[in-house]
Amino acid sequence: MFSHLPTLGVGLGFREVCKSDLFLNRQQVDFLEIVVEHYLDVSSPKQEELEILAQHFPIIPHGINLSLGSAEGLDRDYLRKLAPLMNQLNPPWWSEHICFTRAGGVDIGHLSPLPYTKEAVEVVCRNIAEVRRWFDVPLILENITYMVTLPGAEMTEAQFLTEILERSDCGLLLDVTNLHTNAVNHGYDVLDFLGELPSQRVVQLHFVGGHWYDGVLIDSHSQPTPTEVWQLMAEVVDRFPVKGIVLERDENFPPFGELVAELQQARQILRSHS
Amino acid sequence: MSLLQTQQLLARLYTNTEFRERFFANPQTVGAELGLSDDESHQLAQLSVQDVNLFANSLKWKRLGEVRQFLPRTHLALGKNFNALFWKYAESYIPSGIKKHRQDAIAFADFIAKVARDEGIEPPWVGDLVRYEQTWVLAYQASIYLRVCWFRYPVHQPENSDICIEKPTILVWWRFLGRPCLLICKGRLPYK
Repeated sequence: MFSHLPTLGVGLGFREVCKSDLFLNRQQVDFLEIVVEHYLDVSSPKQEELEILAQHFPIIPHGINLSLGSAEGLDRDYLRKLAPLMNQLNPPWWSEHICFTRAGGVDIGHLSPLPYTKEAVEVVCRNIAEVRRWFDVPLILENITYMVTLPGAEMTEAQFLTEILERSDCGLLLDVTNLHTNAVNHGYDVLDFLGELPSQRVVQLHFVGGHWYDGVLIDSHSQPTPTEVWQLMAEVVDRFPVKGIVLERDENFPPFGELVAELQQARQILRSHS
Repeated sequence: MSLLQTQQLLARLYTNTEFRERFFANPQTVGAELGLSDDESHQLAQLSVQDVNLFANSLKWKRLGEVRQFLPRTHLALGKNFNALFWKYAESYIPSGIKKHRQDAIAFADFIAKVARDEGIEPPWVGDLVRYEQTWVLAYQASIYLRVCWFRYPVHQPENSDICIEKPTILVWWRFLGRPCLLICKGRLPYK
């Protein structure tokens, strides 16, 4: 199903603050994931930056603001800008989130959960079909963290993800930190969750650490990866044919050597468990 | 209740404090105003107030974190007051689109400059400093840019500690299509 996709290894979510260190440690990073919004509608220096990155690393585009779950449909202007970027990079796959980020003229500013309903499955699948009319790069979908549990669910979170993946024929970007965070905050069993996922669709993983605030684990991408997430990653790599793993650090950046050490640990897990 | 209606209501709950407080104080009345049935309002009232507030606050913290990166010296100069001012500002403006964080930083800089002008905040040169940082943000997003600004303090000095003595200064931002860097020409008015 997704077995034809190349195995990329262990990569890093590219952030501009790491640029110099990244090139000094090129051998430690197998590929890069870029946030697509950072390269849409940009000035020439940013465009040149992307070209340089693409000359040195395989690049996986990662979208944040497409709002695949919006019942009002997709933003065509956004797609019009995204399509040339996809054509330029021609990546083996790209990723977005199962969520909505805007409604009724309001840009929420973050990934917001969808209700686990058949209607929401329909909406996401319809929007994905539209995306494919613009470009046909294999799409993998990421599970998000959520603080708000929406009423009216007709299925579990894992069933909801699986239904969307199956019906839209997409792969899964399983964020193991998000899974751990949700399991902690909402009290469910990660192994039960994994057991419900379609095993052949898991393509890529995300990992990083968050912080605690007022008894809630926050997915802030600001801390080293905790032991529980490393253990979960090993479990996931044992079960699923993962093609790539990405460290997604966004805040509170440590010396680059610490990021490299985390990449090495993920590589070790990928080698010993897959 | 359709997904479309649900999402529109959730987006307002997440981003509008006044609406959120009104809704949770009386979901049936607010629901009726929005054309929801009693059952639909009742279902939405099952949302946890605590969880929605936590998410709404996390949205503002996320915005604040992004804006801080565009205005680092203003953040340094204002200290904790930077956060307090942002919290006040964020109630009245929600940025949107691909470049929303940049847009947010530009609008917040306008807000700080206005507060500095109208109410006076410490340090006295922060109004100049935020205009200086805002101009860099504006210059970076344009391919061609020309702007001349007058400042009461020498805000182009790299350290905040060097700008606290009045020294009227004119700065010119200049950028041509195809040139990868910004040029800055500095001139000074005679001392008072």
